Amino acid sequence: MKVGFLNPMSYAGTPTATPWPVPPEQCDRAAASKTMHRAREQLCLADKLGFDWVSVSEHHYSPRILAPSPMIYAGAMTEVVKKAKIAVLGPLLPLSNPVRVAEELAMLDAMSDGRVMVLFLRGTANEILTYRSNPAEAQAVTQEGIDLILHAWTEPQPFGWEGRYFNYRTVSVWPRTVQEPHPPVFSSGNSPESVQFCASRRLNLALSFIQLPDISQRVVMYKEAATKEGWEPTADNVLYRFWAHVAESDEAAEHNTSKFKVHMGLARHMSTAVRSSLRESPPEKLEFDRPFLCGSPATVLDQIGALREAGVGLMDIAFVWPGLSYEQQIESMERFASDVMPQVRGM
Amino acid sequence: MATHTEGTLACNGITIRYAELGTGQPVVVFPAAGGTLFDDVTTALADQYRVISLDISPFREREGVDDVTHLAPALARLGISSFCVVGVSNGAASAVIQAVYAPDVVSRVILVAPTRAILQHPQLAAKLGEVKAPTLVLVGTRDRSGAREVGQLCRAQIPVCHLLFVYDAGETIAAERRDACLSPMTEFLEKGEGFIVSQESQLIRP
Repeated sequence: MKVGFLNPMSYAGTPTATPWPVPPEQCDRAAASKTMHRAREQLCLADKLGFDWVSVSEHHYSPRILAPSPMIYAGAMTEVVKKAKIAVLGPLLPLSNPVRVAEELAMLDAMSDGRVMVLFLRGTANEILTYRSNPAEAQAVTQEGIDLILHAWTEPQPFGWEGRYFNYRTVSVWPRTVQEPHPPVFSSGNSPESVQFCASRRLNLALSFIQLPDISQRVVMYKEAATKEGWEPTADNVLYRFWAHVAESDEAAEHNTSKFKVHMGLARHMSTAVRSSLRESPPEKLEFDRPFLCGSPATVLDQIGALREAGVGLMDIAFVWPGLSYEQQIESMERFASDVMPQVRGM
Repeated sequence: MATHTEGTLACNGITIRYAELGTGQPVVVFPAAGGTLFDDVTTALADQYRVISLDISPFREREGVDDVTHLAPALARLGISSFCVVGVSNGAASAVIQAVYAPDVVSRVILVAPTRAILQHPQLAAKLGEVKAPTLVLVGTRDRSGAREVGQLCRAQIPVCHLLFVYDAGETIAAERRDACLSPMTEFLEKGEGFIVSQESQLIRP
């Protein structure tokens, strides 16, 4: 198995109670800067510890994850991360110009000597509101955007695109990606429809924050759909993103993480009128009582074994949880690298 | 709804059938073999153009003879001295032949889902560079017939050629995404290469 470090980009200032959008006046300017410096520190550490990739996601209007522009951050990553791959997991296509995304990723691939990997996403309900995208069309827009980007990376000649949501008369991306035909591309498999799309385009499958039985089900679905398309994915084609906390003992891990729960869905805080308008967007996640991987190194290895059994070969891990100090996050990450990662390599 | 005018043309010793619809600048259509003379898109084109669709199946039975090269004088007898050509599916090869052998009378070329017939035609693939008219090639993103490769070759060889992908369409683009074909085709017929320039206002509220 391979392991990536998901940079949490956690706001270094005092947490706010307001869910989304959070008023800019609550952002401490110095804390914002400190957040970026810490993130850089963690990237360097992840690279030194031997993680296979470092990843960044895209989120807006909130201190939860300070990464509204993953491309800017990925550009900085190419300068400080020397060995690990640069994983942009990932740009939200309903909020983007796909041709611009194709250009920027190609530029990143050139800057990093071919170390880019990418996951294209549609975004959660709150993200769709950022630039006033239509939630009912988000999936279709994302899928067309992916097709357009793949054409932009592989067509040898300039071309036009007469889409349902995108229309271009001239597309001719420079530079070309260093990786041929293009960087590894992941697509979300968090809904059955998206799994089918992913297999039909021969893309890698990315799952996030879903439960183990659902992971197994999606992987089976992916493999069945791929077989119909005439190809056979392996565990190396399946990525799972989650939280982890590794402590010296199960008791310590429980103690460190039991004070808080995580609720993924920010839309639950919005008015009824807004939520009803978002009904076509992805279902809001439930509460999580604890990180997906949580415990001593031995316990975490068992949990990873179950993940491997479910068909996952790539893990994108954020070592964060509410209540954990920055130092505890670093400690957990280092313990994972020293006591878990070596055994994971052989799985 | 306007009805077609039908007639016949004598060309190189053979009689071919044609159907005509609309008024305006002439657009000569080479439809897919075995299909109807007018599809959804060419019918819609007739709102702005004089569309003449040719049944050239008698030509196809005379293997090795490029009767299409003799079409221009036959069309002149209909009062057509200069025209645009549209080739659909395997009719695309005939449209390209027309552009190669009658370069002075063909002003625009549009190929819709072109088949490998262009590649298989003796010498035609090698003559793509001689097409003088601005050319537009439309290919559906779900088309697995080889149209994408033909479009790439045309884009690389024809001096002024635009390759346009019609998203989520297969081989029958006109039926599957009529407006997505019609819009660029009418703009291309009107503006030629200038069709890449948007005239749409980006003003949200004046």
